[in-house]
Amino acid sequence: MTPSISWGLLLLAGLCCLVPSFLAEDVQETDTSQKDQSPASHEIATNLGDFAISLYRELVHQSNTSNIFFSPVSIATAFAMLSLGSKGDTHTQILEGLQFNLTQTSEADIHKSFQHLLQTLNRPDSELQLSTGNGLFVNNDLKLVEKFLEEAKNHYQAEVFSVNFAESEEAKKVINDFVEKGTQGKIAEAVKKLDQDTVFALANYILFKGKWKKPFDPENTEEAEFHVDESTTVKVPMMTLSGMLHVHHCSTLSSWVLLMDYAGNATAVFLLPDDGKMQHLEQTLSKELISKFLLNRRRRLAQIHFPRLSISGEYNLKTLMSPLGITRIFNNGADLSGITEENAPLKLSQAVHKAVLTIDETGTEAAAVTVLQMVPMSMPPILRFDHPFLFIIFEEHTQSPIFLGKVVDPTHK
Amino acid sequence: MALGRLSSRTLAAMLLALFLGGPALASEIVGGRPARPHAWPFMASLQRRGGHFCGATLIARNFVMSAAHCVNGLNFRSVQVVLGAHDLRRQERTRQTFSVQRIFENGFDPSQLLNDIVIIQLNGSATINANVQVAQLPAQGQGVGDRTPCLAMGWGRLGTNRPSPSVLQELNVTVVTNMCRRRVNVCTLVPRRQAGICFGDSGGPLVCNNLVQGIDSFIRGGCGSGLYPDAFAPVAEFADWINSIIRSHNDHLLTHPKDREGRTN
Repeated sequence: MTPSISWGLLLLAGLCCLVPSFLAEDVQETDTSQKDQSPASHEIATNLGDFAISLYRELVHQSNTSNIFFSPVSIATAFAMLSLGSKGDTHTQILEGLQFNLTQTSEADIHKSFQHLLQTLNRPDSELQLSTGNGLFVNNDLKLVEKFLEEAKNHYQAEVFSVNFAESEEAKKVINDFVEKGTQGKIAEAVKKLDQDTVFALANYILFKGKWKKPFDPENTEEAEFHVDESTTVKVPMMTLSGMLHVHHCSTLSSWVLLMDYAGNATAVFLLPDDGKMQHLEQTLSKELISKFLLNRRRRLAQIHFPRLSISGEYNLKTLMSPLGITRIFNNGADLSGITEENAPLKLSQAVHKAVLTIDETGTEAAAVTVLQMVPMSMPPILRFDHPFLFIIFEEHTQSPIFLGKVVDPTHK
Repeated sequence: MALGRLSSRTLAAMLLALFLGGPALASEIVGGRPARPHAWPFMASLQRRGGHFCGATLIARNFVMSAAHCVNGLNFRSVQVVLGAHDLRRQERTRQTFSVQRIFENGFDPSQLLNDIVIIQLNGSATINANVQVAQLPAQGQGVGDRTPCLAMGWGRLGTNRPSPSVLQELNVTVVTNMCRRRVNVCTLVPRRQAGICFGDSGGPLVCNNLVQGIDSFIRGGCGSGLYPDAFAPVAEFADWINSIIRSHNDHLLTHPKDREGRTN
């Protein structure tokens, strides 16, 4: 008798606490909406830059001999969305892990900024060939909070699926079909195995195959050696481009810096370290330096040799995000009461991020015009991307890091 | 010099030349050709750390002329001017090497490659001999006419993505005024062939009727495109300016004969 009464009291206490929170959130959001009708994605670009580099350093720490490739924007979007439905430590850890400081940026502004960013990236008329999506998969016996569903769809373009996780194979198929459809078949098996007790899963993907504003000529592509390390070389198709390029040597990073524009307001920053300077580059890299490169462009005559490649990264987000302090959402102490109505003990059992990028010669239809660019005939510096290098791809308007990668072996898919 | 892809006709001509025992690379059959050593004694090589990056022309004993874009953004103290060269990969006793004392430009616009001319004052005076001589320049305003045959030369690449030759190359080209996109340039094309200037040829002379009428400047559409003319800075439009620099800075030098001797390599 006594235990039942205790549980009842606890439950009632919880319900009482929820009511003021909901009201408070509503009031805050309304106030913010009235003040600022056009949120700026720039508010989160700085945080995303910090987040990207923190995550990169964690991945290098795990392995400095593997390709690295992920989408800081895509991952941050997924967790910002989850923060909509989380509370307490679970909620705090997410925002802090994403490098947000709530004393500087209100939570409502954060979500509006992500909304704006996603709208920019996914504009149907954009020349940016980008496909990205977030899928939430919840066990069919759980009832979802309507408010969360609405916000996840409006701000984060998320799709929510009710699945029967008891039927493991069937549930896996639902998740994989979602990713495969969203990536036009490029990512066929995002999830290979589901944990026994999974009741809540997240799948996050991003696929990019851009067109250069200034393309490579396929006729100049020929096989060449790429030096994975001192004793290992692989054969790769090496593309060649000569002309007035955004190239300079940065003594701070001990690296050549090459900026290549994509159609659709994206720019790739390629960082080619001097011999033996990769570790120095990785330690010295900062978002301030990269912002400087993007702002201070200067064309000069140069020739580049660059491997044609397709690079992908697949990450278990639990393993990936834990070092950044995002742990509670993955364990039994998670508070995701903003997602499901019952006080069922819900945690994020499975979360996968998959990113794919193709770099080849392709340019825009208008690319032919650039062939008429005046090219001075002095001897150009030659940048050979024939040893490991880093790259960051930015969306120009918001300076958000869409991708961050390290090519160690371009023959690894 | 950029060599185009061999047509079957060109290949047949080469085979015929071989069969007849003549030189395989005969004049006007295949793009550029190696120059006879020191055939053009005013030809100079601009180098940094021993690497050739541009050509130049000796226009006075202590001045060479080149393209402004060759030294743009460069610390000119890192540049060496090599006269009397032919094979850049060999030690040559005919060479005279100088440092740069000063550079003169005339409204160079790097974004549009306008006024792409630079006068480089050497840190000494060249010794004139069979291998090192001063070039003749046109008079002010006396440019070159359409369809005039000229000779381009340089140690530039043999193609956009091909290596550099070791010996000086020369190429017969024709002035094509009407195909020039900008009247401020002298433009040339190699009729019916894919040949022309390429990386490393910048700054070198375009010789027409024994006068240096052009300074290699830029191309469009890839080296030796066969479609777009090569562009040169028009020397005749700068003749008075060039001569005024030579006069005003030669006088200073002549008043110090010992210093002059000391600067000579």
